[in-house]
Amino acid sequence: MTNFTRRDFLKVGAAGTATAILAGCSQESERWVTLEPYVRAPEEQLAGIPSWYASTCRMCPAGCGIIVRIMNGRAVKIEGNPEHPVNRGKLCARGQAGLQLLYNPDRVTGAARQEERGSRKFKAVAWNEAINTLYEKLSAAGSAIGIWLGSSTSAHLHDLFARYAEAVGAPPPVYYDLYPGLNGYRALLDANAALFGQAALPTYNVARADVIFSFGADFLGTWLSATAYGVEFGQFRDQPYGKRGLLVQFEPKMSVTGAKADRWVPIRPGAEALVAQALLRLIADEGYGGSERAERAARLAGDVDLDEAAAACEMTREELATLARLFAEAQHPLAIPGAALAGTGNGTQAVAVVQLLNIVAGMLSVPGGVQFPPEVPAGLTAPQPSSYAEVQALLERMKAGEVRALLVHGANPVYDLPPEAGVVEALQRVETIVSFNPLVDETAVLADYLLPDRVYLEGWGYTVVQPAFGGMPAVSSQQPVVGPFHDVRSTADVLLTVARGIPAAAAALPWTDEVAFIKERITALPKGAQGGEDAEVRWARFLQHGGWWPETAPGSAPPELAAQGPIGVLPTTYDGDEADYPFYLHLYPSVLLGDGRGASLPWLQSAPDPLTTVAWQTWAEINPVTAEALGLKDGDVVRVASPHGAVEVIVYEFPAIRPDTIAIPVGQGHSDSGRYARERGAHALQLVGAAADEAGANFTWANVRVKITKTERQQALARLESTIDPGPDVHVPF
Amino acid sequence: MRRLASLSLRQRLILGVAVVGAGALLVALLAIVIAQTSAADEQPLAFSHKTHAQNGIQCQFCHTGVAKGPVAGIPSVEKCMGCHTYIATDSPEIQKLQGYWERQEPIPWKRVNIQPSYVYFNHSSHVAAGVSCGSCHGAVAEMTVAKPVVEMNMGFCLDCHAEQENKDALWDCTVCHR
Repeated sequence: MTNFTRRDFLKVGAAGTATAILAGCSQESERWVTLEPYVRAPEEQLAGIPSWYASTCRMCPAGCGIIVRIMNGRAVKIEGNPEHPVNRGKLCARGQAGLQLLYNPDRVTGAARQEERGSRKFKAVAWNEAINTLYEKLSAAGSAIGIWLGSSTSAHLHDLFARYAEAVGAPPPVYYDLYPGLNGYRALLDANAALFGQAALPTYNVARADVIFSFGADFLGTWLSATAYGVEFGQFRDQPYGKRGLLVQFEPKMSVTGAKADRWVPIRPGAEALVAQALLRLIADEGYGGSERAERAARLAGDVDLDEAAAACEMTREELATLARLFAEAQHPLAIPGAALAGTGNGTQAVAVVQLLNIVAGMLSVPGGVQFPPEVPAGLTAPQPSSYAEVQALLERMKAGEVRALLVHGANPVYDLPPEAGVVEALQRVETIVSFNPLVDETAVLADYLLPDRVYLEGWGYTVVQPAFGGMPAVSSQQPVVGPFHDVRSTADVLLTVARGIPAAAAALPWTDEVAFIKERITALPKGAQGGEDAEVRWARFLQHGGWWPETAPGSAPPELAAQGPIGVLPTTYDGDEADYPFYLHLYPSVLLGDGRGASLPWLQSAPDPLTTVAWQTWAEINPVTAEALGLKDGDVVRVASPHGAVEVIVYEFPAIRPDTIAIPVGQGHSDSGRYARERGAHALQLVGAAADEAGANFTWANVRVKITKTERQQALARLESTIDPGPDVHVPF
Repeated sequence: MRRLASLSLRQRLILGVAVVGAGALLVALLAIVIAQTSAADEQPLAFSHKTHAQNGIQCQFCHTGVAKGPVAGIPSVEKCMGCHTYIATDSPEIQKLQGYWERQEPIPWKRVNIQPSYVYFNHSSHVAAGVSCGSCHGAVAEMTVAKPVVEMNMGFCLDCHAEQENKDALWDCTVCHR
């Protein structure tokens, strides 16, 4: 060593630090782990060997089958059930995060009462006392009750509540939350009822189609079931004989599905029906796809301004004609109506017009076409999402003081509807509000009693799967994979106990507990793919394999066509004048947070959004061209205002959006729902009015105009992608 | 090489700090290593392996998983109470046990032996190969409180793996680090 320099010193220091860090990675924390052996060891459990139980995911209404890994009585991992007809072994991020609902530190740990609504001061109540109180309130209210259920409510509980409501003479339960709301379930149901006389959610056989025109359906992100469509999309891209399907996605802002499309068409918001009409017109006029298809198109196509339609797609009339030809001349073309067009003032008709493309192509109940759900035997039916008109009727009853007791399970009405719907005002007129939800959400804060249900990993239930993927009727089983983590009670059992004391309801709900009810319904099913001659064996197999479904899909005849002529679609009107509100607002459910129920789970909060890589925040996607014109850059906080309200969000410059459109994800902006959700981001539903669409299917959330004003504030976006300026060479497609 | 004396005062100071720093790191390292191999002294109740072994209870009576799966397992409180409802009920330690049973609480035992999470270890394959409990765990039957007397590091594992007939397979990294 000639000279000990500063550099040498640093080398020694670095080597020492590295050793210390390596040693520091030792199992210090593991070493002092406390062992917690069983108090009573279950006979089938062997230490170190996991058990797997099949159940049903309830993080969205799709009804995917799950298998849960149990170590020493604790649920440690959720995977997709490989046997299940919906997700075929796959599971999405939201399904994986279900564990954090079970272990959420903000769960309601027992029955509680709130002295003053909104005070957030809850006093624990013994369950017997709570059930007695519920009995007194319900028995005094008689038929003056309201039942509000949501997509995390099990079908068996919906059935029991519906029986209770019928027995006491109350209107049937409202089954509505933001998930079906933002995915346009009801418009799809109503459109099919009008076209085919079948009010059912169809499936689109993506796997066998060769050309798909998706009108804003983010079927690989949030729409109906991303896992089921994900499996089908793989088959769509890798078909027999080397065929690779072609996907054209029409949407104003690129979604996950749009990012995978072969052609992305930045359509003007609200112009989907117009473009679908134009495609029909072109097929009819030009005779694309052979005489049969052209004739059907001639019968069903209405009058349409082709130039306007082409302009709405930012293309020439010839380019639009090329698309029409591409669709008409494909062997198995498929048109999928998405969520945003269902949220306009004439959503139901817009969905119906897109369906006409499938009718013209003759793609009904054939491989690669639209498939309708087969009937499930033994009278098991999936609860259908309520129309917005039914929701409004309940709110009116509440406002008129006709609801003395409101029971809320699986929905969060205060968050799920725009402020102008007046849910808070309606709740104030209700004498007693009971929330059965696992977290203190925005609605539970205004409740008088919290009677927390078991979360789905702790509870019993079943889901009648809808839509039925692969044309397979299925009842998915839900069983407790772990014992209840807290002193919570099954809502179905609470309801059955209460009903025993109410003379009108006692006869309608004679079951001792929910398992007796579920078993009675399930054992009435015929032998399925799981086998079992004996009812007991069938019941065991139902739980073991994750549900009931037949060995092969029964197949169905094409439905009778009710629509014989063109469907008139009124031009989309927008809330807000173009001069004052220059931008279209495009709302979309977050791929991770769903309709907002994922916001309380930190795994989903911290997972980056697939297209923007932003986590934990609410951002507004703005085209770089627009951002430059407005003097905005990434991280600027802007105030987005519509005629209905305003939110403050962070600018995210996004090249894959129309320059005249602002996109905001829905899911954040909770005032409650636990520590991870609370006071984070903005709830974009505040920008939306509460007016019903023409058919009363939904509130109109996709035809709002907004303006943007810059605030003085800045907030860095929590995002994964590089924030280095890409330079002038980056491709911006406008 | 220049002699230390020829270094300037500043250089000597730097060298001194470096040596002291390295020494301190070494001590810290040692402390961590010792912490890794030492047992928790305090267990929630003073269970004696010796007493139980002297009364003829085999290891597998309580550590039931040892021949069947990766983990030997700690007996449930129910199993302890199987005998101690009647045996030595007046001992203060057994009364502690009864307290756990009455409250239906698990006994929060401190871990004695542990392998890091990057080591895969399976008891059953070792028991099946005829390895006795004592060859890794020491003479637990003579201990009052179990201690990790054998330092179960990688060398210890490999010493034994090297002597086996299928030594080549057992020397593969992925046998344990999988």
